Amino acid sequence: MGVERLASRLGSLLNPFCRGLGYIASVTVFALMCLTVADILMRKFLNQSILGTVELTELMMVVIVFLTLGFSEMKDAHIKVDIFTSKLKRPTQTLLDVITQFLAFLLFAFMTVSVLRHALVMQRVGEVTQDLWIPKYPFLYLTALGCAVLSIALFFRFLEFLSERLKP
Amino acid sequence: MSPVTFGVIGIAAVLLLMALRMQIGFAMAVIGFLGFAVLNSFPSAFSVLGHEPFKTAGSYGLSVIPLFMLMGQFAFISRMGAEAYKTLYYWIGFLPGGLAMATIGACSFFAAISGSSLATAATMGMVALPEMRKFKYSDELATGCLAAGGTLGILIPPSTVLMIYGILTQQSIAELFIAGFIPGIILSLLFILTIYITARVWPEQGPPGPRFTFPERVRSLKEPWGIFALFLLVIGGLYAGWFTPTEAAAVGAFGAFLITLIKGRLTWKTLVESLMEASKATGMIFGILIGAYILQYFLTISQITDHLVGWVVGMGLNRYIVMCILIVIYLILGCLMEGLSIIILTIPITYPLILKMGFDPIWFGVMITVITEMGLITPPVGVNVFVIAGVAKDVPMYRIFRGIVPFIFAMLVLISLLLIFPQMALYLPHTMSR
Repeated sequence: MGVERLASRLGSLLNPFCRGLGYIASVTVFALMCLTVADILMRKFLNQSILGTVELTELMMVVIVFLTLGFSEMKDAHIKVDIFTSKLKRPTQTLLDVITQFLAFLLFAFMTVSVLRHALVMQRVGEVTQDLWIPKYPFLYLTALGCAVLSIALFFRFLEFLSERLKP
Repeated sequence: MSPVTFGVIGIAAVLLLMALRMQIGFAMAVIGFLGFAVLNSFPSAFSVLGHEPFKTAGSYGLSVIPLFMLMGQFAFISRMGAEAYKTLYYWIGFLPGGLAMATIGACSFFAAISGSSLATAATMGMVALPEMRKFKYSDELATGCLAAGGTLGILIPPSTVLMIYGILTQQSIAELFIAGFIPGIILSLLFILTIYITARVWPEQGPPGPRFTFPERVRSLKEPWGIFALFLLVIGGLYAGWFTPTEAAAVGAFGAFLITLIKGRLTWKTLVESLMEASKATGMIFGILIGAYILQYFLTISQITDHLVGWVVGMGLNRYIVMCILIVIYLILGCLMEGLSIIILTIPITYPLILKMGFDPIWFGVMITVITEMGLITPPVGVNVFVIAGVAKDVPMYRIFRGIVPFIFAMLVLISLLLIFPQMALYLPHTMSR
């Protein structure tokens, strides 16, 4: 019962949060499109590219990817193969899900810590991009945030399956 | 235990976790991390986890992914596929099986602006199915041609599968896209031929539709201008070397956005939905890519690929026999898994092998795209079939699968043609300006 309540509370916090991150990523995708088109137009008609288009694109990609990882998980969009487990009995299926989701949660929790460490180093070193001198470390913190959200989303999945499994 | 043995165990473990319904990308990441930790050291594996995700995501070359996804989304809401269908309906609907042929044609046109098979099948399903029903087409032919036609989405450029293949093998995405063009057209023609034969032998399966006057037909030509404009700009631009793939994708997305706007089909709601869908799909693809790159560390250090390649080459088999074995393996995988995952999972292993055997990497990309396309419509996991079943709710699944059988033969014909005449895929890329 405790597990079920915890899962539902976590879900009600995570869903709007991930959706919010998804909105930010969406705006970034649109901005990326506009930036690239603007760069092409400038190059064709004014013979001059927008300075730093490549590095801006790379940083925007970091924003897009890491803000959507958790969002995609909450939408259950990450690809799974269910042909082999579909023949199993429901309790066996849930037990397997409990195990695999916990493994995935652990991995991304590890990843979060490792990325954070990397971010701290980058902040200390103060590495910047080549043309626009944008500091890189904030984007590493964002990467860590994305990994953390994904790991929490996976923990939520784990709780969901666990609560189903524990039901009498 | 030797590293190679570890590599074999690792691959088995990835497959096991995937079979247990773990997210494919996460399964690869978990095993990649553990394997690298065992063969190298825990601190270096931990450090890979910290560096690799940022490096993978922050890559200019991969920015092609969200942009082509966005182009496909805008193409989807612009209803350009429906317009292409209407035009073809006016021109060839009166033939025996004509509505089904128009469906295949419209799928090809839609495929030229969308890289996704599912979107192609879903779009055309909603438009073409009611018409074929109205003219008493058999359920088999109507649903079969839709599911098969949908697969054209990933062969005719732009194509999600070719894009990912290009990224993983560091081959030119532009060349891959251009290489898919002629085989895509030939496959459409083979599908149309299949329908023609079916409608000739069993006329009750595909009765003729309405006949239109010549002026009416000419008038219908003005509808699908958007598709032609977009295709010429995006794929033409890639062919002519005007754009990098990222730029072509951005131009395509922007063009599709403008066309949707001009046609009055862009609302705030559809705009937000398109952007969110493109973002979600990007998250999904990177979920697999990040996992694949982490697994790559482990596979490299285990040297399993080198050993496998050496072993196969050492057997002294004719290279076409090896290719046929690979094709059979991919066909089996295609029945069990979704195409993108198959490519991401197998390419690190099979790609060095085909290079070593002297096959052209661009040609191989087209080949496995066709094979994974087949996987979209073969039981038990024919994803396109599920989409069509969702649209045609009253048609039982087994009838859809029965309707697909002739189209599977058409695809096998294309695979054989590609084997015999690799120039089909390679001619256009060789004429590209670089």
